[in-house]
Amino acid sequence: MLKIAVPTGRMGEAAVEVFERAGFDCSGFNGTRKLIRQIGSMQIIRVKPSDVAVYVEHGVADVGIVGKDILMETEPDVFELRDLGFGACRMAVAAPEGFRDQGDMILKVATKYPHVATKYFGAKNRPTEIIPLNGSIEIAPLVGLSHVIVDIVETGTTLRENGLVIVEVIAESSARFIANQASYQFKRDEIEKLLSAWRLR
Amino acid sequence: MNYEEVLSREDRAVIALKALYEQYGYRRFRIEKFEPYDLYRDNKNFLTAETAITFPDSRGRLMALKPDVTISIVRSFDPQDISSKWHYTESVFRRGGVSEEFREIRQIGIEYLGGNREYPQLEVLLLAMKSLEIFGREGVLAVGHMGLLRKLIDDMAEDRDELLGLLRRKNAHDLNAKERGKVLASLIELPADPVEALEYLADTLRTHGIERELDELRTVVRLMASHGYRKRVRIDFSVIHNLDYYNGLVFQGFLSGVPKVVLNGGRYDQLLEKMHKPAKAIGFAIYLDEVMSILSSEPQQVDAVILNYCEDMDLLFEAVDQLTSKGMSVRVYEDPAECIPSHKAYIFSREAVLKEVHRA
Repeated sequence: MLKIAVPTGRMGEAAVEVFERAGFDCSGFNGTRKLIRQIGSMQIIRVKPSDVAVYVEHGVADVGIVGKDILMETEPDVFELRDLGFGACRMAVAAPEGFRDQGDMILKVATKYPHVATKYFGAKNRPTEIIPLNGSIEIAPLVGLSHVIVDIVETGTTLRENGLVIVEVIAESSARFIANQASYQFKRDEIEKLLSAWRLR
Repeated sequence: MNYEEVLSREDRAVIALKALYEQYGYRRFRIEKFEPYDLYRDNKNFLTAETAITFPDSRGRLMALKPDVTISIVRSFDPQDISSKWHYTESVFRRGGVSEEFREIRQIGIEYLGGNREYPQLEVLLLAMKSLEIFGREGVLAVGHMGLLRKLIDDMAEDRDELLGLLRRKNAHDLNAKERGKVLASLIELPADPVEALEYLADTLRTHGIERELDELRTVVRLMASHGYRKRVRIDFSVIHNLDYYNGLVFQGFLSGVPKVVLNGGRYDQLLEKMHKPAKAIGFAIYLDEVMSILSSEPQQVDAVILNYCEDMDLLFEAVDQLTSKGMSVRVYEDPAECIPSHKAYIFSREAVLKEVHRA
C-alpha cells in the first residue's frame, strides 16, 4: 500500500483534482476534515503543507506533494521525482515602491523563509538581518519592521494592494512530487503506476 | 547458563556481522575516543555536512571526539605494506541535525586498504549485500559510480555541485532545464533490473568513453547475479558521495521497513592520495541506530518471577539462589501488578516458604 502525504489548503485541493482526473474517486474529499482517507490501494494523509516533506523524509508517507518553496527552505533528504506544474508561484524579494538598496546599511529582511533568504543574500555577499515571521509578511516594510521581504508571489495582488513591488525573483516554485529514498527502492512499481495514471511521464 | 539467550536481536546481528567479516579475513580495529582535531581538519569535507565535536585539552591543544573511523584506519595504514583488511564496531560523534545537537552514531563496517583494483571491491560489495541479509529483511543495494559521473560532468565547472545535487534528488525536470544537466537527467530513470540498466547505459552513453566504468559495474552485477542477488542490486546514480574523495564504485544499502539509508560505502582512493598514502581503498559502514527500529527487542521475559512477602532478605536470597542455580532467570516483585511475563511464578510467603503458583 502506498501512503501519500497531501497538503491541506489550496495546493491540496489542486492535488485532489489531479487524482480525480486520473480516475480515482475522491468525492467529498475536499469537504471533509478527516485527515486519513483510503482511495483504492492508497492511503492519503493530509498534513500541513510545510510538514509534507517531514512525513516523507521519515518514511511515515512513501510519497508526497509539496511546494518547491518548502523544499528550498527545509532541504529534506528526499527524491524530487516530478514537477507537477500546478500551484505555480515565484519566490521573490519585494519592497515598497521606490525603495532602492543603497548597500550602505544592514538590509532588514522579513520572511517566512529564513533559510532561503540567508542563502540568497549570503551568495550575493549582502549583509542582512533576517527577521522570521509566520504570516502577513507584506506588513513588515509598511510598519518599519524591515526594508524588504522574501515571500512567494502568485498573482501579485496582495503586494500591489500594499504598495509593494517585486525587486528580484529568487526562484520559480510549483508543486513537486517527492518520494522517500527507501520507499523508492521497495515500492518503485506502485510509485510509477501512480505517476503514469496522472499522465505525467 | 545459555549465553545466547541473553543476547538482544541487535547483539546477535552485530555478532553475525563480525563473524562474517572475520570469515573473509578482516581483523578487529580499535581506536581511541579522543584524537587531536588536526587529523580531521585537513579532510573535514570527508565528514559530509556534519561537524566534529571539539574541545581544548589541558595544554590548549584542540581535541575532537572521534567523528569518523575511516580516517583513523587510513592513518595506521602503510602503503608499502601488504594490503590490510579491518572491521570495526565503534561509535562516532558529530554535531548535526536541525538543532545542531551532539550525536552518537553507532557504526559497524569494514575497510579494505591496498591490493589491486578488481578483487577487493567485489569482495566488499558482496559483503555489503550479505550484511543486509543478516537483518532478515528484504534488502536492496543501490550501486553508482563516481568515476563515470566525473566523465559526464566538467569537474571544474562552477555548477558541478548543483548538478550533482539535482541528480542526488533524482530531479530530472530541473536537470533538463540546464544545458549541461541533460546527460545526467538521462541517468535518473534506469530500469530496475541491473542487467537491463547497464544495456540501456551502454546504448545511451556510448559516445562518452565510459566503457571501463561500465565494465566494472557489469562485473559487480555478474557477481551479484551468480550469488542469487540479481533482484537485490540496482544501478542507481543518485548514490553520490563527495567527488573529492570518492572515485569509483559507490553504494548504499536499504532495508524494507527502514526509511533511511542503512549502509553507505564506496571506493575512496583519493582520500589516501590526499593523506600521502597512494593505494586502493574501499569500505562501508552500517548505521546501527537506523536499523534499531526493526531490531527492537521483544518485551523482557524471565523464566520465573517471585512475589515476595517475606521481610528476611537472607532467606529471600536463598530462595532466589535456589532458582538461579538451576539456570533460571529470576525477578523479584513486591507488587503482583508489576510482574512481567514468565514461565513460572512463585510466592515467597511471610513464613519464608517458596511455593509455585499457576497464574490465570
